Amino acid sequence: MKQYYARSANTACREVLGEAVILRLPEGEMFVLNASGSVLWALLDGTRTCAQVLADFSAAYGLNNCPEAENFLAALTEAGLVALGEAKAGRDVAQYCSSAPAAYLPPEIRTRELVETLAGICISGYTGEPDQMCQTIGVGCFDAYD
Amino acid sequence: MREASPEISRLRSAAAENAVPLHAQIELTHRCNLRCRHCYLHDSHDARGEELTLSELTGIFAQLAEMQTLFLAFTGGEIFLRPDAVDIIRAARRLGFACVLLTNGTLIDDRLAGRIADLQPLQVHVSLLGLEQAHDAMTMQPGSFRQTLAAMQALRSRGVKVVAKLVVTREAIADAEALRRLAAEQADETVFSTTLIPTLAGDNVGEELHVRPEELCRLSFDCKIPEFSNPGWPPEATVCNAGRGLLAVSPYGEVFPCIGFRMQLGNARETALEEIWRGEKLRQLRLLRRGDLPDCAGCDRQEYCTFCPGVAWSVAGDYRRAVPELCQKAERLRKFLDLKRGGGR
Ligand code: SF4
Ligand code: SF4
Repeated sequence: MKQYYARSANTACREVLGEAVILRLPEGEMFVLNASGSVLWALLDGTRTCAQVLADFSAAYGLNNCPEAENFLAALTEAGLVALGEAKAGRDVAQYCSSAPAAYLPPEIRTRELVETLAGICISGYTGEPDQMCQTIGVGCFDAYD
Repeated sequence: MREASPEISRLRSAAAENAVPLHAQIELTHRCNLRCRHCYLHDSHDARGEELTLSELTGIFAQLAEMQTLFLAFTGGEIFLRPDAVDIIRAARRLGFACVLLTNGTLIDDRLAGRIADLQPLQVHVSLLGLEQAHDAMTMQPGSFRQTLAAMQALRSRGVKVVAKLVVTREAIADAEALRRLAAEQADETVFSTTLIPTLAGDNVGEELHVRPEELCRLSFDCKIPEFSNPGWPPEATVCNAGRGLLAVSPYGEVFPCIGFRMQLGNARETALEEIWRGEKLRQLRLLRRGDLPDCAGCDRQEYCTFCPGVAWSVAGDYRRAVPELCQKAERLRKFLDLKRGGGR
């Protein structure tokens, strides 16, 4: 049975100023992916198998293969941000969560360098404190005295 | 309450500096089953026209997603008075938004709590206005306190993060300590506030409801008021996030810089949100710096003042003016901090 990679339902995500920003729900833990991480994230729209994700990612950077991407995918899965499924899913979210890979291709393709950063800094977990957002998304500036 | 993580602060600052509306507030309805006396909609609960439909809202969400909005706060009125509230939030979740739901909780039974949990909201915020008697007196609805507590329990038992906002007025200040203990048990996060904002009609919400500094001082818990948020008053500092990293949409499609700042920028039913967001009014607002506030130069309360252009707008029709509501708030804070520093209790 083929297994397709998709973003988990318990995530919120958006590409903000060129970075894929992901929140794991309900904890609100925040992950920010760098450009190459965002490219890989964009491919997780539920229409690709693991092999296809890795092949498309490598192709986007003109590589034959990319073990770092494989590790990164495993890290995303381990973090609960990616779910394996049999059905295709997630297409509607995909278009807003991260740009198509082509948009990220740097003018001079310094592929190795880009990809080598993947395992190290692509995924950075932060214990987000979204409670503080009430200052701007509750009733305006909600004074937090506590 | 914890500090915001450096990463989320960085993201927010970057969004505001680049005029990306990372946060949007969506008012689903102004109708409400309660009549809270401190509410900024207290005089405006009647429907003024057709509320945005599910399909209109879905179109707005798609535009916001294009504009890089990540956080949506759904607020009212009472959002669950709309029979399609769950469908609306689901539409937003499908587009990848992190959703915060502001509700009074009174309409949330076990079944609805289950449906809300399935939506995986980031948080659900409920307001507690005192212990039972004071809360019900503020909402003007006997039984509302118990309903709200039951909703909090139903949500939390399903893994939903509940934030209790303790909005304490003078009438409930005697409950503050017990309320805080209760909230610590019944909610995942607690926010304590004594800030009341004027109604949509610009009326100050009853001066008699504002907690006095001496009363605040008597509380045993540490009220760390705005040394936290007000690092002085550098003239080049921006005023707030409204219209920079934040926008708001009313139930009728009106677009504002913030729900607390009702300067109409356009209507999402008629104009693309992006066009409204790039419009002249917001361009001007984004240029505003503290040093541009004409009444505030030389004011000796600056370090205590959390200037809100929305309050200035609703009271004076000019978001740069120092209106009495703002100056009184700064004065209360100064007095509170003076008392605290002097060990006054
Ligand atoms: S200061 Fe006023 S206008 Fe600005 S974000 Fe806060 S409530 Fe909104
Ligand atoms: S207290 Fe009044 S005059 Fe002083 S800075 Fe605040 S709004 Fe301006």
